[in-house]
Amino acid sequence: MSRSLSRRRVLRGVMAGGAVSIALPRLGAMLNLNGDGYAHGAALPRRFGLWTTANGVIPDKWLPKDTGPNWTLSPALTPLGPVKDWFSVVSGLTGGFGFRPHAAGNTSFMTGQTITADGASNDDAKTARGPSFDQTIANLIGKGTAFRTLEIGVDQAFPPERGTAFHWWSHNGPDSPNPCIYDAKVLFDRLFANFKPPVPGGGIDANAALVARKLRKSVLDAVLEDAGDLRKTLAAEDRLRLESHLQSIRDIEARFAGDGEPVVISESCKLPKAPESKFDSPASDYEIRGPAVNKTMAQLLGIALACDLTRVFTFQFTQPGSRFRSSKLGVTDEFHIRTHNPAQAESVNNIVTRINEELRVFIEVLRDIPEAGGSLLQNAAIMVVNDCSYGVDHSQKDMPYLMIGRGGGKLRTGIHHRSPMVNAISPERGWKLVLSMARAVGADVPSIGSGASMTTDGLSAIEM
Amino acid sequence: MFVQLFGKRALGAVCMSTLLGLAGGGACTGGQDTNGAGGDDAADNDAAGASGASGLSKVLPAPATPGLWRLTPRQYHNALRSLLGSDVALPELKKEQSAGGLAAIAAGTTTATGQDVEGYEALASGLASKVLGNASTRQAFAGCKTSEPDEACSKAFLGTFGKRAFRRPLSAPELERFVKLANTARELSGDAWMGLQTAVAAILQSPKFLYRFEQGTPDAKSGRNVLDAFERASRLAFFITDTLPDDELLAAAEKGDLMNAAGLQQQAKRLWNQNDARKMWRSFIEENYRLDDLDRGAAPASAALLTSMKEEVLRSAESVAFDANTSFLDFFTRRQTFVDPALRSHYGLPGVGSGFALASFPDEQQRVGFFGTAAFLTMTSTALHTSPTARGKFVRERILCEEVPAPMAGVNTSLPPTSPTVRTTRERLELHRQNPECAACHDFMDPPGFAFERFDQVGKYRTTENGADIRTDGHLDPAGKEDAFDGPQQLAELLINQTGTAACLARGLLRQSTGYLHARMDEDKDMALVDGLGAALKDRNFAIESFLMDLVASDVFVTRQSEETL
Repeated sequence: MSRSLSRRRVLRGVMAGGAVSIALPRLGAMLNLNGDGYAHGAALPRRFGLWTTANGVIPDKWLPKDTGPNWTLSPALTPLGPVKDWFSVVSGLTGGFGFRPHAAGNTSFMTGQTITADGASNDDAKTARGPSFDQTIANLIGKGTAFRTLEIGVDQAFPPERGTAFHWWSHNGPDSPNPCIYDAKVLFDRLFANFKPPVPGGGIDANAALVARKLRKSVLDAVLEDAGDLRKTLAAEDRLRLESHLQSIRDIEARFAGDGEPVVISESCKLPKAPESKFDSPASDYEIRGPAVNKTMAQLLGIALACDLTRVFTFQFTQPGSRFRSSKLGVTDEFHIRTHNPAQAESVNNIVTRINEELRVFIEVLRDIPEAGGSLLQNAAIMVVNDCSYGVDHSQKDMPYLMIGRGGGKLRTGIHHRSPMVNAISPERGWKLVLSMARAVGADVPSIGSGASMTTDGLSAIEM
Repeated sequence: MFVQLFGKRALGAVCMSTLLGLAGGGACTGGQDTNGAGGDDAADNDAAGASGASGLSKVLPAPATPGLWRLTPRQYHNALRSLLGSDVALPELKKEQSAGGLAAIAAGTTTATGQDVEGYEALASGLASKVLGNASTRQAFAGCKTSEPDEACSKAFLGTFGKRAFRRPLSAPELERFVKLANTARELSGDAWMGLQTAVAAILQSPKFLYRFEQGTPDAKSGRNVLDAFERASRLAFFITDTLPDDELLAAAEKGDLMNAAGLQQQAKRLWNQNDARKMWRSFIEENYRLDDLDRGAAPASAALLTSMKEEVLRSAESVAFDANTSFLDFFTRRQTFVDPALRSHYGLPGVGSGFALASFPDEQQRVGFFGTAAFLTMTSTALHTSPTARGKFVRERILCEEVPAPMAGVNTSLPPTSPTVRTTRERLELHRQNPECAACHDFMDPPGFAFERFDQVGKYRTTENGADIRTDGHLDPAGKEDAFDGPQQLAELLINQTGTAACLARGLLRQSTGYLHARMDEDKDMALVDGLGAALKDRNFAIESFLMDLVASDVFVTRQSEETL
């Protein structure tokens, strides 16, 4: 009798919290004695990420004057000096294509095709025509993880226009974006709400936890079964939308299906401190709370990567066409409008440089996460992308890309590589860099784009 | 007629091709289209058994609508409150997804993300635990006589609760499934209340609750899919009150009352008189006219003033829809507005008082209706200056439903700087238009915007800019010949007589009420449908309630395009 009562109490406690998910790191994933792989012989996980900013740069303040390993920091890149060994500048490549400046800049680049209703101004309807390449990569390397991909955002000074193509970099397909989480508390709960490092002889009643899992599974099973009779009555488009919803339910099931105890991978996979309440960056002025949010988000991401909860992420520092504001720089109007005005080039460069300071924080946080005797960045490949190269004309030519991390030792950091074909009629696409990075982390993506722009080769200059 | 008006697929990627079409159509303003309205030739074309008493008697194509329509975030919250009690604690409302400008369109086209589905699951189990884990209230909530729910009570409760959540009676296998789940959970946990709680958690995260399934049944005679009584009840309730059908509406559906025009109108009228209808209307206006741009912009105005600006427009819109004997045209042409002390001082109006009251705009400023409000004038400006381009684009897109092409990549979109000879924004734009690449689109967009140039970037009145007098004349006709105006009042008079103005508002209401997906329509049918509704709206002299009663009783509301014709 008393046992039954206590069991009920535990169950209610778990159910009442709403979230009963137990995000488990990979099972049985103990490091081997050398610390360079798992005990059972598997390699350490490798990760692919995007770090996104917007509105282009001032080219002559961004581009380093020299190339190769002994390049000199340009004014805009100066904040990145302390982490110079951990990234490469890759210039001279062309981004996406299409009419619609910002939305096409991010979404056509990510999907390898134009966005919908390109050319017309009804931005609400603008969406991706297909999945973005981060999703393709996640299908190849992220399947067994708790979160196939993770989307995190920092600055919330949203762009002047609408539509999913404009707002997000990651897309599953038309009208199916992967929006970012902007509140660090929400991100923490999603990742770690019930994540408990094992305590010998402690923790919640194993039997009660098992019953809670069974109850939860019975609900999800009933929902899936109940939805079965809907599919046959729906038109194809609607059926796909329902199917995607049901797949998300199956994903939840898969995430807590493991019966084993949580196992810590390395000393870096530790439950981080939870933000106490809503913690996000106000749209009105990044400087109010943005820097702290940026750092917290980077830390949460880093631990999620260290615990192998995800292997593919998008970190939207700003949204495309961003209206980033900074009281520190006296930018109380907004970033985007200034980039349209050639007379404001100095101010724009100040903003770009300020954003690079925040990028440095991001890089440092990940660099300082130890893994296998080195840094987590050794096993990551993170691309810094922009929605255009120069705001005045929304150009996609000579994009300001950076490549962070060594991709498990396969990527060359610390150099400036400039495409010799920058002024050619058919310049090299940014997708060459993407392919090299994806392949370095084990995602053998065959190509991106189609027709004349189809890209199948990587960029050998940055490969080891 | 406006051949290009709604022909989004006819829109050329290059400005010129669009403009050629519009220049031809733009001249057609005085001609009143009479063939769409008021005819009595279609009384026998009653595929749904719904029209007849309606003023919308012309047979119009069946609209393409989503068969799977996700509850909008607002509807989801409202529905949870209807089911679990108005005091139930809910998380912060998620932002409505924007597609086609309206949450209703996003609901019919977008896909729930993994995060959304996780949220549905967590909230469903959390809320189920709150209402059925509470020993002092659960018995009353479930309506059980015994302190532990027995099988009979569980079944009765799940049947009633399920019917309200799914907006229709559960089928026998459905009810069996949820009863079985409750039994399984009871056995697993040793707690009968946990059994019921588990079944409620399942109902609250079932796609049958989270989505509206509006398929209809194919009707061979009309070639349309005809919605059944419960699908009609859902449509009425979600459209007019933004929430689940109430018990009276479900009972009307069960009796078959919603299969005829009179029954539909009777229920629609009842719902329209509820406070929820006003909330729905305010949301519709906010979305249709993009008032949230006020929150997104860089306006040099305090947050409190921006809130007042928005409220001014919403009150005005509420009054032109709900007050007796009003027409929505007043929304565009009225010389009066609702102001609070902050707005009084903003407009330079005398008087004090607290809260909002109706007041006349200052005569000399020529402010008129929505176009005279600080909200419109601010949300179409940048922080530093006005944008006749953005204001004109708003008129083209949001008032007339015309499409404006986007600037191409590689085009320099910055305006030339001011100089001793180029002092006003208008003059800067005129220089910009000397580039033919820019002129094609700007000749179309900018002129309506010039009408408002005597209002600065936060809508304050001015007569000069950098010392130069400000002109407010222009032509609505992109060729610069027809439809001359000087100032906002003359432009507003021109606009309310455009066929496009009626059709555009009618399209917005069609989207809000049915989730209308014009991208899934044949272009000719789309135009026939939207122009026909526009004519009907005009026929009612833009009286919103009368038009909506016509709409809900028509085939447009209770049938949908059959899937085969998609």
